[in-house]
Amino acid sequence: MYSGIVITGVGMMGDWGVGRDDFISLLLGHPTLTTIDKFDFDAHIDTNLLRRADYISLCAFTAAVMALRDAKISIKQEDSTRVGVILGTVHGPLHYSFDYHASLVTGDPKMVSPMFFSDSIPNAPVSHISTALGIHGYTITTQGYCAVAQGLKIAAERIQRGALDVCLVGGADVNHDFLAKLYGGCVAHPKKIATTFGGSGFLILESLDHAQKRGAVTYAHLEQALMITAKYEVLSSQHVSLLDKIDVQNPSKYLLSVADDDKDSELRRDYFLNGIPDHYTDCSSIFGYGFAAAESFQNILAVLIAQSPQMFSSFLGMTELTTAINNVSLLRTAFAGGNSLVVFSRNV
Amino acid sequence: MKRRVVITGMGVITSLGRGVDVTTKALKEGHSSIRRINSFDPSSHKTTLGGEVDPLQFENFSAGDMDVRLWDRSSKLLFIATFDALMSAGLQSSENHPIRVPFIAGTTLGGMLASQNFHRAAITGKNYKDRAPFVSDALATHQLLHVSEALRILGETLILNNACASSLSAVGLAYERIRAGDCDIAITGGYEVMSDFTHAGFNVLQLVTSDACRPFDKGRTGLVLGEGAGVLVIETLEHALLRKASVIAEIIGYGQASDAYHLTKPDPNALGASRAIMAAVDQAEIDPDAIDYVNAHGTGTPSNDSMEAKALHFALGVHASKVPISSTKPFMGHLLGAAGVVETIISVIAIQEQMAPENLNLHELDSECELNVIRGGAQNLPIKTVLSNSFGFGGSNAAILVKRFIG
Repeated sequence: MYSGIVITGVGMMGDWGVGRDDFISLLLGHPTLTTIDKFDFDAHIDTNLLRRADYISLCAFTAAVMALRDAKISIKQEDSTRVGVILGTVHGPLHYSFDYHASLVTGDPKMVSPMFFSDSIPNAPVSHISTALGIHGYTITTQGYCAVAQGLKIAAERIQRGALDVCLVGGADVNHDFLAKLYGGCVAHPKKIATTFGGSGFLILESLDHAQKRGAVTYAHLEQALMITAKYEVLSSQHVSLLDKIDVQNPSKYLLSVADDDKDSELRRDYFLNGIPDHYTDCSSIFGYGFAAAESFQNILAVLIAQSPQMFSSFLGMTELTTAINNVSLLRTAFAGGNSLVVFSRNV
Repeated sequence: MKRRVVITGMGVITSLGRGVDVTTKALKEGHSSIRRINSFDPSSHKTTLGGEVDPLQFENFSAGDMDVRLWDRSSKLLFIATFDALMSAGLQSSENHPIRVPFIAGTTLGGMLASQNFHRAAITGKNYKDRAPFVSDALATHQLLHVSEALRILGETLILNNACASSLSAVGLAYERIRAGDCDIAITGGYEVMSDFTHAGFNVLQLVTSDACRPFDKGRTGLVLGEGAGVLVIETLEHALLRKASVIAEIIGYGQASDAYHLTKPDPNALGASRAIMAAVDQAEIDPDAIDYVNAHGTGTPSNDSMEAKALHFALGVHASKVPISSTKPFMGHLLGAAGVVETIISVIAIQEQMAPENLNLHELDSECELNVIRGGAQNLPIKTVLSNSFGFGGSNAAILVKRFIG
């Protein structure tokens, strides 16, 4: 259980639109649909900073800058060695990776653009963000189906130990035809791949002391970020359960849940309804297989619910939702046995 | 009270061979394993050289009851290094008695072999659906899961990417979590496999040499790629003593910092690299003079080596020009994401053997690299504390300090 770690900003963009208003429209079932290749990045970032970067870098950078603005943080006014960036992703810079392969296969390998290679390495988005914004502290890319939860965990540990004041933690993945081909034979609902929402979301994590000193408004506190890999560790009472590890002062009142297949979802629902949460919503279908982008959106949703449950009562189908919700837990049982639990508490 | 973190298991496989003993022998004898690449046709590129693991290492490969027919070579490398590290640490699992520890690994391009096979089938219009099962090994996270499942390792699995500093970042995170009391023991390391994709990429970036890797040499022209894996078992001293494990060495400091300079070029002012080294020294609470040997990142590219020399002078002061230093990349190539952990293992070997490996292929020291670079064979030295550096694309910098274990 962490103490004194707060979320002071969020930023998000994707195939569904950009910013909080579009995000809420999406939750209400009215997404402003576009595709990443048609997105007007120039309207949101100075793309000279990321000249010729892959879409994932552009998405991550857009969301990171929005989150910093939301938190009213200027890196120039911070000790940049005490600011970090952590990005979770499953597929990384997929477009450049694919283009690079296509160039290699169909053309002269010596004529391949160098940027295709350097920008197709998974840590390229983090590098672009740290370079363009002048962030000199801890930077890392986590890979996997619960990569954002792992990023939140690493950031919280480093803030808790006093190594960082502020950490940008996000997730990013973008759609590509290649994904449907890749997962077509492997997932329970391959059609979801085609309707997924790619993009990026970022949260600003900050020590409470640092936030208070600069008079920041806080959305929520990060209480816990846990990760267990083997699927049965979560579902079987014979093994250690993530839910058994929930350790908050005010018992969790609300559970958001995500699963990659219906069987998981049913199992979890049965398990949870006998257990801890007062309220439960499966939000799997909102973002589809959005990979780390979807995970970042889910975390942002959990933060926003923790901050203002009334605003989301219609989306959640619970008109009785009131300020009585103290904690929102986001549980993911994802592809390849990845399981994570992140707990945010209301800013009391 | 800070917890002491010790290394109790090591596993390594590179083009030098499998195991710590084989690696030690090659380092002592100055035997390089750089050869012409065989696993793909490199003839259309500037360089045809690489440090490939001998295919014989994979003959009759098995991993418990796992179906390994679709395993990418990188999964096999990681499995071998992990298996050997667990054996070395005296940790054995079984169906009913899994090992409940976190496994944190780093890689740059993970399952690129599987991924490129799928990409190529999709691009050339071949039946990619036949290759759908390869998805299970095209992502780094799957490789770690395969190995964890095969060796019955339960707990958090985490893949980190920090370019060529990936595996050192993994070791550093595991070390800091144990030190802070988040866990008592962890398995950590990294892996990387040679592929057309990676080889072509470094060629078009003009970072490879067609000559030989000559770190710190005035006439250096670039790096040579390699492949391999290294894995460590690390734990608190108390935990190791309780389970009567043999302690190999102690980790005393780790530092990580970002250049925020350029995607592929290191900061010529070496600010990020020097901050990473200074952070490791500060955490270890030692004087820079206490460092007896430096295992350099030393890629052999003009920009890296002069930057690293500058970082060492900035971080270690006058001791930088005195402390014996070598890059061991000419022995096995640049292992990218696996380099950090393999070079940490080499640093431990230096302590165990009281021997600093030679910096192969050095003819004339670059005047921009005013360092005490080891040449003319491995040197027998009293070595108690070693600094090992790893720097990567994206301005990733990491440094670790390992020390002879004194109970």
